[in-house]
Amino acid sequence: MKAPRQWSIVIILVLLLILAWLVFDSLGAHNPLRDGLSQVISPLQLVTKRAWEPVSGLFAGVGRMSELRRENEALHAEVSELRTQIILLNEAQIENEDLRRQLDFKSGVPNYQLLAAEIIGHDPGNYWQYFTIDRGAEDGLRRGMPVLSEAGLVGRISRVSKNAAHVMLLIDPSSSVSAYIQRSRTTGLVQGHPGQGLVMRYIPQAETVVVGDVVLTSGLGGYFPRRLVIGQVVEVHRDDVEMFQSATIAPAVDLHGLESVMVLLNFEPFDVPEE
Amino acid sequence: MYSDGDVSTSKTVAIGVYLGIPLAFLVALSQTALVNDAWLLGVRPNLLLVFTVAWVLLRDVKQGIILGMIGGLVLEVNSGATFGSILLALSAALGVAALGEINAFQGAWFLKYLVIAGATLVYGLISVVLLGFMGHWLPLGVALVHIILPEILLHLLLMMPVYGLLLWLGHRLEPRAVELD
Repeated sequence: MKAPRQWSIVIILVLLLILAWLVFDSLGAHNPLRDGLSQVISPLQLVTKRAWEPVSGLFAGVGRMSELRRENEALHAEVSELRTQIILLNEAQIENEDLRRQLDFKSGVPNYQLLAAEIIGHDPGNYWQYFTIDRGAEDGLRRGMPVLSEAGLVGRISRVSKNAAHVMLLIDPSSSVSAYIQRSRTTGLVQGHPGQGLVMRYIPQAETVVVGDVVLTSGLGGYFPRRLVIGQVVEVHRDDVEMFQSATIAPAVDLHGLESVMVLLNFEPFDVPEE
Repeated sequence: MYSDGDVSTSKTVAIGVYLGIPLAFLVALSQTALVNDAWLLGVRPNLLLVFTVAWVLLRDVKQGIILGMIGGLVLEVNSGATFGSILLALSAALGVAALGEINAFQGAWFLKYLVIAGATLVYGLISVVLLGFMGHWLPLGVALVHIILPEILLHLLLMMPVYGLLLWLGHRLEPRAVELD
């Protein structure tokens, strides 16, 4: 009789834990159980990740030797081309600022205040797309803040504990971002889709969408600032009987290869609902 | 239970759990910190599922569930899903693994592969249903083709080394039972 009683105790304890967790989750943004566990697990994750990095880098390097050589040559060529472009752009910027000053225009370039963060953990499954970063409430992070990389939009902060935060990626099924196509200015909604990446929905049938179109945030709804790069159209789905067309978007950011990100601190998101 | 000798004495069971708890913790930690580098066929493997299923097949379902709870808790902290989703899916998948103890193919070489495929399918189906309850209905065909089937293939590949490692560890660390007449 001893074993079944022990089992009943274990099951009751687990059920109580789940219940307490759900109650704390529903009461507010901070769940002491999650925060406590997170404080224990976050440093361990960071140590595990750092310990693995040299080994993982070595394996990846050996396996991709010839590919890396080709990539290196291509990057050298690109760097030379980009240097020339930078010089020309600097000239254009100086000229632009000069003309703006003459016309008394306010600068259109946003003044982003960014905080760098390292990714220390990933959502363990293939259905939800989140990761954990090593910055939290102590660093000034709040729920809803946009998360970026050099290439574009990554997602937004969905949960904050004392020294870590969860980031919901663009490709999570709960993610929804108001967007527009740069070339045609057509608006739509970019949503995450498990197994399929990103899909832009609600594009009016009359609009023309072509493969290669760049998709940016529209700023509508107030969750994200305007003009952040989301990605490029790779496939257009159009059906005459549907009211809208949709497009598959390749994210500008390699969301699975990210190691660090930046949190946009000086953007006030519009009242983000609980995830 | 081991297929080549019974070691289910109270002492070995205790060793098993004490060995399994840090292992389950380590596996879960690795899954959140490292497995993102291991994308294959468009999906990441669920190391904890493979580990606990192998543990259930080698020992018993009760130990597997205890380890699943501990590892599952680590995963829950890192997951965006509603708390309890991973524990629920994992418990159901381990229920499938427990069937491996009581079926006609017990002892057959392919049993572990059959069980991990079934457990992955159940884990995936429960995850799809939970996703639906959260308001994100995913067509079953899409889930099967893009997520569940690649996961099954990946887990079939992983089952052999994980099962072999746990079997080897069991033989190295635990004494065999000796019958005294």
